[in-house]
Amino acid sequence: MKALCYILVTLALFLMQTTMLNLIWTFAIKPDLPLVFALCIAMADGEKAGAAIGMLNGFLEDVFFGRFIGLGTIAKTAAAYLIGYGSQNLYKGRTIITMALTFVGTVVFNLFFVIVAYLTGELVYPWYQFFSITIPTALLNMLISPLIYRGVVKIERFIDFYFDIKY
Amino acid sequence: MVFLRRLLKNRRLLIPIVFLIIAIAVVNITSKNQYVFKNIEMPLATALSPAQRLLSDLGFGIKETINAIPQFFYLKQENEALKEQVAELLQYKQYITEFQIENQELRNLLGFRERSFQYDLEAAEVIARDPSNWFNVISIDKGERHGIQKDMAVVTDKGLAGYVISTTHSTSKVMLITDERSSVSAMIQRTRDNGVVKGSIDPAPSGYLKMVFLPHDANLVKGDIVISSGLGGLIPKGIVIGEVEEANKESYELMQHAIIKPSVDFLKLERVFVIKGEKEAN
Repeated sequence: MKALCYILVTLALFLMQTTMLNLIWTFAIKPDLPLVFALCIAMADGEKAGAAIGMLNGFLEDVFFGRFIGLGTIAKTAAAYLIGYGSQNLYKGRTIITMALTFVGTVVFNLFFVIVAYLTGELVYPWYQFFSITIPTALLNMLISPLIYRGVVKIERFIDFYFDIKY
Repeated sequence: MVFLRRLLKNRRLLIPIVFLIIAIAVVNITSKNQYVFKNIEMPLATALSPAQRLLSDLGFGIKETINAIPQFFYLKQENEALKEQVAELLQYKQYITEFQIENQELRNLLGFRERSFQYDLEAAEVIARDPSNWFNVISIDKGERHGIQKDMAVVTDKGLAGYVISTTHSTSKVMLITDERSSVSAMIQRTRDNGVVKGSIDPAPSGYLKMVFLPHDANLVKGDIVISSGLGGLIPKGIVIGEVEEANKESYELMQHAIIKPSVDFLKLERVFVIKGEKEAN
């Protein structure tokens, strides 16, 4: 049930990111809602769940806007997996930790994205815009992460209460 | 063998390695075999495009409402300015008609084939945009069943926006000219110097273009209009791309490059036209 719910939320966030947000948001750099969601899942549920959501999100991005499958899929899966793995021993739920991990996760995602894009010939000048794209995106993602993390916790509580806990 | 046995026992390490091997295989297969990629893309795009269209309509609605509020106060001023512009354009139309007739007569005298500047256009709406900040790809609501094919040019009323990179039954992917991977044959309208316009690459700032391979003696000035040259056969000749912002000689001085400000506002791209072909001249 939880998996289905997360898949639907990922799909909804992907659609929102590629349609409404892109049309209303008139700045060159935009936050990445599905990536933040995958990172929050990784923090809350562990690296495997985060990586699965990251993979789905990256796959959708590749299918709808890419020229092959793998670029977004690898980068988002790796970022979510590493954040989930690295945050195992951290106290979860504190806003500052959520924000810091989202910042790091976004930087890791962009790093993987640039490496894969360079290796596949998609980016010829990979480092030219790396900092000017990565840092503003990471900051924007960091700002919205507490809100999305709270949403993830609420979804978990809702599912636990109505579906998973047996009386 | 010992290493393999240890690896198989350590699942934390095994899972990422297996994922990486599968991912590399998928990248290889889908990048080399477009048929496989299209078979994955087609059903997903067909299934999700109605939702994308609905949400983008909603997005446009919200955006238009937000934009309409301040515009309300400037309507009278805008109306006056537009009236002046209409009068000016009518005058231009007269000149153009005269030039057109003269041009036709001269071409006839020289025995040149008549050229048509009228295109067979297909209007389309932008239904989605690439979520990443690295690439500039949009999705439009017209596809193969509307006669759209790969490599067709996509324009707006302001100029060239990009070209179609792939199509499904009812949607198409368009790579914008600001994408780092895009390159279009172009020329400076005033001096007729040829070059290639590439996306936002060093040293062009984000949202700007770089025109490369310009002759070192090309006399470029700020504000020079850049148009498509028609070389390569993808983009028809004469479509406005942008204007020169600055020109710089390459360090070895054999070539020159220019930073181009695109004529299309890509952040506000809502409706586009796909050029399906040139209309026959009368």
